[in-house]
Amino acid sequence: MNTRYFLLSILGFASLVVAARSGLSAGPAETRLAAELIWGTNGDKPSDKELKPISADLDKRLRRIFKWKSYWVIERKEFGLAESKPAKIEMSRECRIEVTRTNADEFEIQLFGKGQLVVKKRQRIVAGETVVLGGDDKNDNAWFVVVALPRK
Amino acid sequence: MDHEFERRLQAWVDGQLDPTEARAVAATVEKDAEARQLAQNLRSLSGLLKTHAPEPTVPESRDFYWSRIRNGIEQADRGAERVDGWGSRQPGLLRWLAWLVPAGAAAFAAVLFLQPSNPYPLGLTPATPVPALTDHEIETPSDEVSSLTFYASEDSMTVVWLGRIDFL
Repeated sequence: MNTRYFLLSILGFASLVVAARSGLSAGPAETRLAAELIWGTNGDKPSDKELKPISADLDKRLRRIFKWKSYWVIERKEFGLAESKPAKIEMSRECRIEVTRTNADEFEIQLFGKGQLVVKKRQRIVAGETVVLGGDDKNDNAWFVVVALPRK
Repeated sequence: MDHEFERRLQAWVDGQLDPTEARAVAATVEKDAEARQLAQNLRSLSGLLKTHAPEPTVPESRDFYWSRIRNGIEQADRGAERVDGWGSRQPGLLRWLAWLVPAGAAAFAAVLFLQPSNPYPLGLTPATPVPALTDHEIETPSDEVSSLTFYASEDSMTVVWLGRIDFL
């Protein structure tokens, strides 16, 4: 056999093995995400002792974009997501999100306020990325719903 | 005082009018208290800007940028010469490797493309996140809700800013 065809055969075989192994290991793995309901304020530290400051990393990232002086976690939930099966996450009495993994790395996030659908967002999210839904609130405050797909 | 006069007044404050026009504007300013107030505001704003506006400076000189571009081009040329020389002069196995490496890379790329359900089949995580707004959809069922979407690439963060919603 010609050396060139011999080497090509080996390379092709190796490629098939790698493809088969990766296909088998992919499986219907559950994706873990984290959701936080955050309050942004220019006022003093809130009197509610349940509120904790957000993580230093998220704080740094939000501050690069938004103007509020401090950010506080109202609720934080981690949840698993199997493909096509939505996860319903209650973030507060009036705020709920539903997250669906529609494809390998494509997600749909629905935000409900007072039981009504406010926004539906569908997009690719890769590990390390964050989606922030937010808006102004009374007294120069703001709310944020942060959905993150952490790096493994 | 109409908008056109406001523009002329601004030009007058900036010293951009010819003498005839400048005299006309000055006469109006003398008679009209509102015009006088606006002229005063414009002068004080101009003073504030001159005093406080930051002066943008480039951290490195123009020559430095050009020398970097020139060095980059020269290095690329030298690299191309080395590859050409290496491929044509090396005998035996090394010459095989010259086309085996790209062939291997092509096979590897094919393996990645043949995996529809898992984008990172070898456990790879992209070093740079894929910009999220290349394929995204957004719906706001209520006409009263306004939305603005942008992608902060430095922070790997997609932001959807919604107007007129009260959650807290």
